[in-house]
Amino acid sequence: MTDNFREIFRTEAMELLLELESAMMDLEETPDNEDLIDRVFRAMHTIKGTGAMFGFAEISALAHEAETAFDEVRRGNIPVTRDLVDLMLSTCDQIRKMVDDPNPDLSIKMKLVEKFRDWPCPIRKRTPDRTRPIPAGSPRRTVRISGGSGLSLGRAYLPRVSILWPCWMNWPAWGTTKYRL
Amino acid sequence: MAYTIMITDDSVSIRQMVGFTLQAAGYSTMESVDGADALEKLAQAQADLLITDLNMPNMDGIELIRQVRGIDRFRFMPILMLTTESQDEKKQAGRTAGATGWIVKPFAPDQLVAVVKKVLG
Repeated sequence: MTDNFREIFRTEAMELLLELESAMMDLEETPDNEDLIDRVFRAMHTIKGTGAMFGFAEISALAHEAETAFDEVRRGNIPVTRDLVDLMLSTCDQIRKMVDDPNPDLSIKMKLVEKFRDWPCPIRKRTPDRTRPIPAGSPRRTVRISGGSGLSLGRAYLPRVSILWPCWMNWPAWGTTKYRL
Repeated sequence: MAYTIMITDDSVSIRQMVGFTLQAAGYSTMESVDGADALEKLAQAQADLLITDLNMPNMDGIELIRQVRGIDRFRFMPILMLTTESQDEKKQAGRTAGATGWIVKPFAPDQLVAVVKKVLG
């Protein structure tokens, strides 16, 4: 059944990529179109979420970067420029390759991730480099993790614990178990 | 009598995975593609649990939760949100709107069933 789900994901991802590409090309004409910006954000969000569900962790990670960039676009912090459209189209190409190829060359994906992370965001500092040493006295934020099941269930149904997470680190990688207690 | 669960997600992969898993666990399921579709279908059917995605076209999950909570017969129905790690703000908005709990994507089928069993008793 898992293979079936993966096949359904492949079909859905291909459709979403087509929609993304068409939305990006329309955005080049009308860069402030909020409906188009929302569509791009949602499509990347779906690829990220479903990719992670069906074992496409690398696709999910790349889609996360594009989604984050478009979240900033939605908030008006990043303008839609020709460069951003090009980067998004390259990202679509790469995701398509990764959907087709079970063992894709990840070097292009890494380059795209770096480009998103270095993308100038005039209002808010974007995700810093994961390998940067911990600055002394860096502020921390709290991340909730679940009590062993990998789920976080609201209210009092499952025990929840909080761990401190330095703010310079990225959100935990999809599907890892290292944060479980 | 088998419980009926409404699944609302714009992703066909997620709908099928959640639907298949819950049916295999003995539940009846209904599917809807966004908040507006879910409301329309819930107006004509009974459901014991709503599982909804948050980011959807037409009507998002937060608005769906708010509207469902405004319908008398669904006031106490459990509602679970499907969220991702990066959606803390939305998760809070969903709780304020009346969601019972949330499940973070990605999740495995048996984890889903465990949570559904907990909220349906």
